[in-house]
Amino acid sequence: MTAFMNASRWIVSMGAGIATALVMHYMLYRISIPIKPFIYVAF
Amino acid sequence: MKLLAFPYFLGCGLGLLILSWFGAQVQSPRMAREFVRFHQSINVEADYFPTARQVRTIIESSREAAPKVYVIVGGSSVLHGSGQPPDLVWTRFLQEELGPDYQVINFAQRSGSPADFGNIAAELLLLQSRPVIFVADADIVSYVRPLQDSFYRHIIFDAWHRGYLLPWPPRDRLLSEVAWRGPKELREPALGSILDAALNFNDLWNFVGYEFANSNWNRFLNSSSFKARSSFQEIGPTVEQFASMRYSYDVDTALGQIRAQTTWHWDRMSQVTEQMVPPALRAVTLATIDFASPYYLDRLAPTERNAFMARAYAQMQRLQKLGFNRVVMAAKDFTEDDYIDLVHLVVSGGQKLATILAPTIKQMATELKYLP
Repeated sequence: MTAFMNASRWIVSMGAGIATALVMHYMLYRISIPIKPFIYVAF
Repeated sequence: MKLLAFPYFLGCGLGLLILSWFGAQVQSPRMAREFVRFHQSINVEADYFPTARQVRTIIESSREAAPKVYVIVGGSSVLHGSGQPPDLVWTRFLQEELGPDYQVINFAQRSGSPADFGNIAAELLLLQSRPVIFVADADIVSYVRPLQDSFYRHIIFDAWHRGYLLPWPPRDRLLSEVAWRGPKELREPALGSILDAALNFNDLWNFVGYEFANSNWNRFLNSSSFKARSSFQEIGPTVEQFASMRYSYDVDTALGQIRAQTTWHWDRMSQVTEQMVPPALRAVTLATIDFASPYYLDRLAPTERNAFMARAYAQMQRLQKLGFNRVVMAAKDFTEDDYIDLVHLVVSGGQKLATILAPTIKQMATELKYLP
C-alpha cells in the first residue's frame, strides 16, 4: 500500500511538473508578444 | 496530496525538454504550399510573429525540385504588393517573366525594410551556397530602417541565434550587445530570443496557432481571433475596390512627405546600411528605388521636382558605391495610373515592375554564374 502511495505521489508530482512546464512554455510565448499593437497602416 | 519536490522538478525539466524538441521539429508544409506573401492575418499586424524557421520551411518546401536560381524579394509594402490582390501580385508576373529555372518568393513586408525579414531567406541560401538573387527596395533617402524602429526586429534576433545570418562583425556585435546594453526596444526581443533559442516556444505555439487554433485576441482579427491562422485566406480589396481608393490621401500631406525626405542625413543611413547588410548580400542584391507617383510629383514646383530627381540619382550612386550589385529606378517612367497612392503600385504598375526587373535578374544570374 505504501509503495503504491509513493508511486502515485511520484506520478502526480511529475505530472504537475510537466503541466507547469507546459504553462511556462506557453507563457514565455505569450509574453514575447508585444502588448502595444503594431502597425495599422492603410497598406 | 503533498507533491514531492524531486519528481516535480524532474517533470518540469522533462516537460520543457520535450516541448522544446517539438518546437524544433514542427513545420507547416501547408503554409509553404499556400504561401504567396505574409499577409495581414499572418504577420505582426495580427500579432503573429513569423519565425526564422518558418521562413526556412517556406524556402525548402515550396517546390519539389530545387530551382536553378532563388529570387528572394524583401523590403517594404511596395514590393510586398500592397495595392495588388494576391492573385495579381507583381511577384506572380515576375515568376512568369523569369520562367521555371527561377523561384520567386515574396518576403517583403508591410512597413518592412530590406534588412529585417526577407534578407534572412537570402542569407540562409547564401550560407548554404545556393544560387540566390535578392530583390529589395529603397526609398530615395534611405535603404535600411534602424533595427529599433523595425516592426520585425524579433525575427532578426531569432535568425541570428539559429545561425541563419551571414557572419558580419558590425551586425553581430550589435545583436550580441543589445540584450544587455541596448535600448529597451531591442533588449526585449534580444533577451526573448536567447530564451527561445533554447526552448523554441515561438516555433511550437506559432505552429499550434497556424494549424489548430490561435490563442491570443487581436483587435485586427477581432471575433475571428481564435481561429487557426491557416483558415485565413488573404482577403483584401478587389481590383475595383483598389481603384476606388486611389489617391484618397490628402495631397498636401503627400507633398509634405516628399519634401520631408530632404531632412534625412545620408551619413547615418549609410552607416546603418553598412552595419546591417553584409557585403556578400549586397553583392547579390538588386536594389530598386521606390519612386513617388507623378500624380504628386507633377504638383511640385520645378525646382522641388528637380531636387527630388537629384536625390533619387544620388541615392542610386550611393548604393552602387556601397557594393550593391544593381541599383535601378524601375518606376521612373511609370504613370499616375500605375499607382494607388504616393508609392504603392496597382496591378498595371506591378506588371511593369516585373517586366523591367526580369531582364536585370537574368543578367545577374548569368554574371553570378548561376546560369549559362
